[in-house]
This record gives sequence, structure tokens and C-alpha cells, in this order.
Amino acid sequence: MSYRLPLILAVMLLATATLYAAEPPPPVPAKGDVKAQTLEAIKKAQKFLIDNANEDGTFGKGFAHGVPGVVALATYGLASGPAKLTADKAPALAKAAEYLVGKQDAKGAIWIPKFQNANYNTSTAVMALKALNDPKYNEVLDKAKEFILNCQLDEKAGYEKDVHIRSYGGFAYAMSLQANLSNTIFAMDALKDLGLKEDSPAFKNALTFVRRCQDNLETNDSPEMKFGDNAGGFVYLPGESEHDTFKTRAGKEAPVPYGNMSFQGLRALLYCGLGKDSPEVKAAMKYIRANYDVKNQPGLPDASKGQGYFYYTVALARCLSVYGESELDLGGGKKAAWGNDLGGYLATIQKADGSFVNPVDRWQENDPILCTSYALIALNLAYENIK
Amino acid sequence: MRLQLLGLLVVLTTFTWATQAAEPPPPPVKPPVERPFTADSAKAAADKAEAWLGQSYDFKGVTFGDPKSPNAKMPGVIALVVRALAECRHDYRESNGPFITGPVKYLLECQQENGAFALKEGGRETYNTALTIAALSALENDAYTGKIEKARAYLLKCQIKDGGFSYGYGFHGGSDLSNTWIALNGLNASGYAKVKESADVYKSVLNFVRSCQDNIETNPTEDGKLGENSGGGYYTPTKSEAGTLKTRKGDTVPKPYGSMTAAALESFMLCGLKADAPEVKAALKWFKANFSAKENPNVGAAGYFYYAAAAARALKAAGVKELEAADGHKINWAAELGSQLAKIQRPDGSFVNTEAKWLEDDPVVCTAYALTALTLCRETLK
Repeated sequence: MSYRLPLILAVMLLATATLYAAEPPPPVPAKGDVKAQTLEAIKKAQKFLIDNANEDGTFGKGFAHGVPGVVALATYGLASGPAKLTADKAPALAKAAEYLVGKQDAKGAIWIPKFQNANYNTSTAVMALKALNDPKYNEVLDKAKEFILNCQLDEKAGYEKDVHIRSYGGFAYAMSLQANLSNTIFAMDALKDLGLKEDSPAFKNALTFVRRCQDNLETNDSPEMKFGDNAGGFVYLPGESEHDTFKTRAGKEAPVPYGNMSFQGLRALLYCGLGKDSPEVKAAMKYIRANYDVKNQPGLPDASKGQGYFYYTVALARCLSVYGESELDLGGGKKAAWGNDLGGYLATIQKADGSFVNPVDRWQENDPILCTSYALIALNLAYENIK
Repeated sequence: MRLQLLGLLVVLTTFTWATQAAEPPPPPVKPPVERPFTADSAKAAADKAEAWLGQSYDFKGVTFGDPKSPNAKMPGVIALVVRALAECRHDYRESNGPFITGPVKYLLECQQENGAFALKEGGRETYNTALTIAALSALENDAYTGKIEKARAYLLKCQIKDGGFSYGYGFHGGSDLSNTWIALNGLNASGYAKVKESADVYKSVLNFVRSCQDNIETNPTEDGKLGENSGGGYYTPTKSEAGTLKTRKGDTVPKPYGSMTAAALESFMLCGLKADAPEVKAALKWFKANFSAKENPNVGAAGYFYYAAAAARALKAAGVKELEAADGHKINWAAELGSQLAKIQRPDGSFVNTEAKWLEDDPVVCTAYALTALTLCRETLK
């Protein structure tokens, strides 16, 4: 009889304590130790993904957890960077790879038809499988390469360079109607991983499309891109931005250049072999320097603030890594160590469980698996560029 | 001792429950709610439809869908697709791709000596010419103005004495509201309303359209005084694809139906009538009582896709977002129609009718109509 009271009390106290259980506060970053903070953030993000790995190779329980592209981005993030995991040490990676391989269809696309976006899914799957660096995936990768090349809108699909100015050379969502710069850079990333270089017909034709997406009169022959402010940034496809139009200094309506496409566009130019002193690259860097910000994507109208932020961190990090300068000269004596800035900032918005998520849900960024994968990829590259 | 123990337990329990009360209570168990059909829902379905049309295009043969289909080379069918693509949210133009430039080149080659866009062997000149004019006009290319105007001159010759349009110049079978409505679409798309002489033409067309509406106040014919005054439309002043009905007074009159009421409604707007015109209000009255998202009202499955596109055009032109039914409940036509279309859309993004009538066994035709309807549903729901 006498032991029951303490037991009941203990249970009640435990219950009460559990009700009050709160998230531990995020660790206060130690000043001047951004490299360590970034590495810590990387490891926590990895742990979050691995903890949420499913038996079937997917991650998390969200509505879109089966989308191959999401699996691929998680895999790619985990298999890259200063703390990269390998398939033999991390069974989740081996399972993820098997999942991706199992989704390849007869045309080489790695996707699930219900979720569409065959090009995105196949391209990210290629990057993930290449990162695992195992010759057993070679046949899958060869077929994927064929599919991706078929997504390019060029002569073999009936497109003409000087007639189909909105599309020629770009890559579409699948073998379909509309090319855009996002699909194009993802395809180029995959094709580059598969060995294509700047002198390949695919990249030469892509360059035509990429140039037509830049707000740079000198090098853009698209009649729909004549009215911008010549800021050097990029739009989604010739004449169209995902953030609609704005009124230029001359009072005309022009598609809004924005951070995401500007970084993707610059990276595409570099993949195509344009040098740092080419007018296109100079114009792009002019835009990037003038709008440098790791916390907010430039170019967005107020109503769209926050949209696509984690996609932005990857676009920024991948572009500036390829550009090859860890410290940007912003002019007026200001310099930006972008790796420090990005790594340091991401570490402060990471949740206690290691995840990242966007309160703005456009483009699926309410999915912590997707955002954590993006953030991990960005952190890996930031780390390598910390001064 | 026991009392103290009990007291302690009560305190602790209350304490525990009290802190639980500070948390939000668990949500009550509700039956699953159907997700509302939004502009984004319409966008998703429309995107799938245009992707199907795009991937069905063969740039070598210049055909959409099955190249062996009897419709594959018909100018009007190709024009229906091009117009739907030009009007969809991506605003496809020639600079987009061969799926526009190829058909345009072919359509221009179909122009006959007399200005009609038609097959050499003839047939359905009004449909083919009017739809081609509408498609070419939608592409906003001044290079085609001359050819469009030549085609328009032919189209105007297809109007007969009663003000309506027949199947083609010299056709002996009389005029009908379907050819008339399509002809008006072609005329208006080419900017005919801005031409001075058009006023008389629109006046005479209006007279014909009024004669195909069950609205005693405005129907100029004798037979037009006999109906139930429902505001609905039919094929000709004396004929309906939905058959006839016997009025309370004992007269036999053509039965109004969905596709022709929609055709009448948009025709009134295209002729310049405003939303408060008695003819327009009467047609809307008919829709309030008879709107269906699932079938061509008073006909059934036949012509469903023609009806869907026509109703969407007409209701959008009339500026209507909601129809108030007799019992007071509001019909959000764009949500209901869009939702039904999304439901019957095939996994590959295409559409086809179970009823083969009026070319609707052809997925190219049905998908073009559905894309038009979904585009308009999305614009209405935004």
C-alpha cells in the first residue's frame, strides 16, 4: 500500500513534465567559429534525413515522399560534402539508390508518372547516382542520359533556332511544350556529370536558350526581352518570369529577373564555356554583386517574399562554387565571404532536430525533407568556401 | 491519511488536466471534406491537357493525335487546337514551337481561291474558315492580316437572308445557330466589330439568334411566341437536337438545350448586347434552372465537350461567376465544371466522349474543347 502513492505521484509528475516538454533552445553560435558551426549544421541535417529514412529507400512521410526527385536530392546531399556518407556505411543510401533505379522506365526517365516532372526527377536521380560512384549504375545512367537529351527542344524535335525563339535549345519538363531555365540547368547538371562538355551540341544549343533568358540587351536577340532595365539577371524563359512583370525605368512592362534564375543562368553560361570577361558573365556578376543577399532572394515582389528560398540557397552556392571566388568584391570596399555568410545564416535557421522548412509553401517548400536536402547541399558547398 | 492521499491525487489530477486544458483540444473527428476545386486545380488539369496535345503533335506529318483519323487534316480541327493553345495560360505563339508554326503553315496552305479555309474537296466551309480565322487571329501576327481579311470576306457570304450562317456559301440546307455562333467567333476574333459596315451585319445576325431563343419578349418569329419562355436556345427557329416539347397550352415547340443556349448567350455578347439585355438575362435564367457540369443539359452525353467550351465562353463573357438556382443555392459554375472535367480526364491528360456524335470520339477535338473550358474556369476562379 505504501509504495503506491510514490508510484502514482511519479507517474503524475512524469505526465506533467512531459506536457511541459519544450524544444531545447537552438545552440548559440560561438563567434568566429562559422566553419565549425557549418560542419555541425551539416551533421545535424544528415542525422535528420537518416533518422527519417524509410525501408523502401524514400525519406519522410510527406505526401510527396515517393517523388524520385526528392529522394535524389536527399541522397545527393548526403553523399557530398565534407562529411559525405557512402552507400556501404549508410544503408539508407543504398536503399535510396535502389529505389531510384527501380523507377526508370523504358524511355530512360526516372520518375513516377502521377507526379510528372520527368526531367527534374531524372536529372536529380543522375546526380545522386553519380555521387554514389558505383559502376553498377552505368547502364541506368546511360539510358537516363538518352532521355534527358530527348527533353531538349532542338532540330530533332522540329525546333528551329531563329524561329522558335522562346524555346530553342532549352529543356522542357518532359518531351513537351515549354522549355524553361530551371529544367535546363538541372538537365545540364546531369549531363555534365555524365561527361558532356561545353563543345557538345547539347550545350551549344542550350547556350542559345540561356542567353535569351538574360536581361542583357547586348547579347539577347529575343524580341520579348528588349524592354528590361539591362540589369544582367535572368528570367524563367524568354519573355516570362515566375514573378510576373515590373515597370521598368522607361515605363515598360518587363519580366522580373530574380535570384534563382540569375544564379542558375550564370552557372549555365559557365558550363557552356563562357569566360569571366565575357559580356554575359560580366553582366550576370553585376546583377549578383548589386543584389547580394543570403537571407532573401532578390527580385521578388513583397507578396512573394520567401518563395523558393531553399532552392535559392542551392542555386547561389552551386553557382558561386563554379564561378570559383570565395570572396566577392561588392564594390565600395565591401567584400562578401559568401560561404561564411551562407553557412552562418543557415545554421541559425536550422531547427533543433536538424531539419529546415520554409513557412512559404510554394514549390513544395513546406516539405522538411526537400528543404533539408537543399540546405544540406548548400551547406556542403558553403563549407568548402569558408574563409 | 486516506483523505489526504485522495486530496493529493485530486490536486495532481486537476493540475494535470488543467495543464492539458492549456493545450488546444484535439480536433473533433470530421468526415473527410472534398478539397475545393480552385484555380490551381484547373491549372493542373489544363497543363496536363496541353502537355498531351503537345506530345501528340507530329512535326513531320503536321498532325495532332492519330494521323490516320479522318479529322487529322481538317483545318477546323487543327484550328481548334491552335486556338486552345494560344488562349491557354502559356499564351503559345509561333515563337514557342513547331506545334504552332507547323499547323499555321498548313492552315495558310488550305486557303482556297474564294478565300475559304477548307479542304480541296470542300465541306463545312463556315466551320473551317471561322475557326481558322479565330486561330490565326489569336497568334497576333500582322503578316496574316491580308489572308484573314480575304477569309472573312468569304465567311460573310455564308450569311443568308434570315441573318444566320449556313454550312457554307451556296449551301441549300438553311442556317443554324451552331454555324452562326462559330462564324461570330471568327468575325470578332479578327476585329470585325471595328469595321464600320459590320453594324448592319451584327444587326441581322442578332435577329437570327433571337429567333432561336425561347424568349417571347425578344423572339421576332410567330413560332417564337409559343414556348414556355424558358430563355433557352435551340438549333434553328424550328429545330432542336433535344427534340420537341409540348407546352402547357398544347403547342409543340423545339426543346431548348445546353450547347445552343450557350451558343445563343455568347452570340448575344459578341453582337454587342450588354449583361442587362433581356436576351442575356433570359439565357442566364435558363442556365440557373438547367446548368449541368456533367452533361449537355436536355441532351445527355452527346456534344458534352462542345457544351463545356461554349458554356464556359458564354458565362465568362457575360461576367457571371455564380448562378443562383431557384432554391437559392449558388452554383459556382467554374468550380463545378472544372471539377467534373478533372474527374473524367484520362491519366494521359486527354479527354474523349462516350458518345461519338459531332466528332467527340476524337480525343484531339475533346481535349481542345476541354483545355478551352479549363482555361476559362481557371480565369474565373482566380
